[in-house]
Amino acid sequence: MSEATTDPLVFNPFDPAVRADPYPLYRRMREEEPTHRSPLGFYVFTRYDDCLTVLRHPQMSSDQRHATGAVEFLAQEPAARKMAEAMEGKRPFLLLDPPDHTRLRGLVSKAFTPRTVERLRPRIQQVVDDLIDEVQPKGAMEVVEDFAYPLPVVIICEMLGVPPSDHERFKGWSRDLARGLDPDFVQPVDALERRFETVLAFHEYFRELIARRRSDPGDDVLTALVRAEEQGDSLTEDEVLGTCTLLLVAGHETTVNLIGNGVLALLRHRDQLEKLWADRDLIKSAVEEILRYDPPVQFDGRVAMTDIDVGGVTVEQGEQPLLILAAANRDPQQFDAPDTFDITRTDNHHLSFGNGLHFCLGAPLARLEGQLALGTLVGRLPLMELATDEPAYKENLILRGLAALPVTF
Amino acid sequence: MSLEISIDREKCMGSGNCSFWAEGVFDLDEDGIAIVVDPTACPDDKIVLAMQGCPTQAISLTRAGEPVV
Repeated sequence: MSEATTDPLVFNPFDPAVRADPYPLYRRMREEEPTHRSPLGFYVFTRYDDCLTVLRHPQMSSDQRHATGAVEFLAQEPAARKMAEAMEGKRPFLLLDPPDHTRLRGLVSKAFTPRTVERLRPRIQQVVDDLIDEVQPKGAMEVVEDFAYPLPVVIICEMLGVPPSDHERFKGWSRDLARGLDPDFVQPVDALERRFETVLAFHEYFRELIARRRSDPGDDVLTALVRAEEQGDSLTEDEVLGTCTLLLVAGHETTVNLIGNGVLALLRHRDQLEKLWADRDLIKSAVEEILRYDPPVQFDGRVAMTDIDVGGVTVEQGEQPLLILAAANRDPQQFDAPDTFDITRTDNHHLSFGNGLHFCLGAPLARLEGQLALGTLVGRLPLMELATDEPAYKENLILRGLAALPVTF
Repeated sequence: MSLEISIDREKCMGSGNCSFWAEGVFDLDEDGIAIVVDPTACPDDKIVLAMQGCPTQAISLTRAGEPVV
């Protein structure tokens, strides 16, 4: 047995080596302690079946207010308490259970069906082409800033009805909220304060935009929500605010990471890139493989509403199990040669969009954006190469994405 | 023997994942619930992938009365 495997297993996602490549640690956890008990008092699940069990269980809640300790934590931490108060009545459906989840998600789901999203194809392609036109003569770009970021931002803002002149101001806000998705206890107090200010800024912004859309309706999601609010009791104005904030943040940060992680994976695996050049139709399965291999959303979590057996242990009522989706995606029980990046996989049921009732609403949009962005990039910039071997990652835990990815072509 | 596809409308939450795996076989109706539009639009293996990939396990398949898993 090598020395490394006799070290005690420590799950420390802050370790710089783990941030650069968390997969060896995930593998060790899955193999050695698949129901790892964190010293902080929760289970960490890394096997595919265990994660799936939790995600599909009707008594596993998405509402953290059910967690034991949530109340005490709020009492101790003023920044967390202010946040909880600001969120009251505005919790997005990501963090709610039926029937509120069902009602609020149902009001926007039509805008995100595969059929509706398919109608955006020409517009997405146009934005992709414009962004590449911009950088092509320069022979170099920073993929995150120049390409991965602007595309989803433009598209989600257009869907929501956010005027182009306002896009820039979301950048900082969205970054703060992405960091804010991580558990409160791992964040410095100033980050919690910043998140609080940002949430207020978001709500203020959308309150104004809602007022504008009442008198000047558009063909967009915000107008549809305002109409639903005006027509009766289907949702409150606070719920419109919560929904818009969720869609904007989810539409910003995750697809950026999909595109960034995707460019990196393809450039590190030239054999797969060559397969894609030879058969451009592989882009569909390539995007699924990127999602499996290096998921933009690494973790998910739930709160047990009753004692629930998972993988041979009992999660007690009020506990919050952590699911490492990125580890489940490499489980050899589910995937052949799980550490191999293979863009031709067919039965690729990765958990990167979650599962169960909360399966990612934006999946059809993310898939289409990923396919058009990466497919076009690979086709138009065949000489693209990494300008650094070790690109830096953002500090976030839940959302895994590159801080910058310089390339030349 | 062809596949019989059935969708549990209570379980379906309209993810649209089925139409990703088996394009042309499934669609979402006005209520955002999955329906079968053309069971012959894809080979059977794609329809099996759609069944496996349904996040709420709302799709069941049978062939000659026997469940396909």
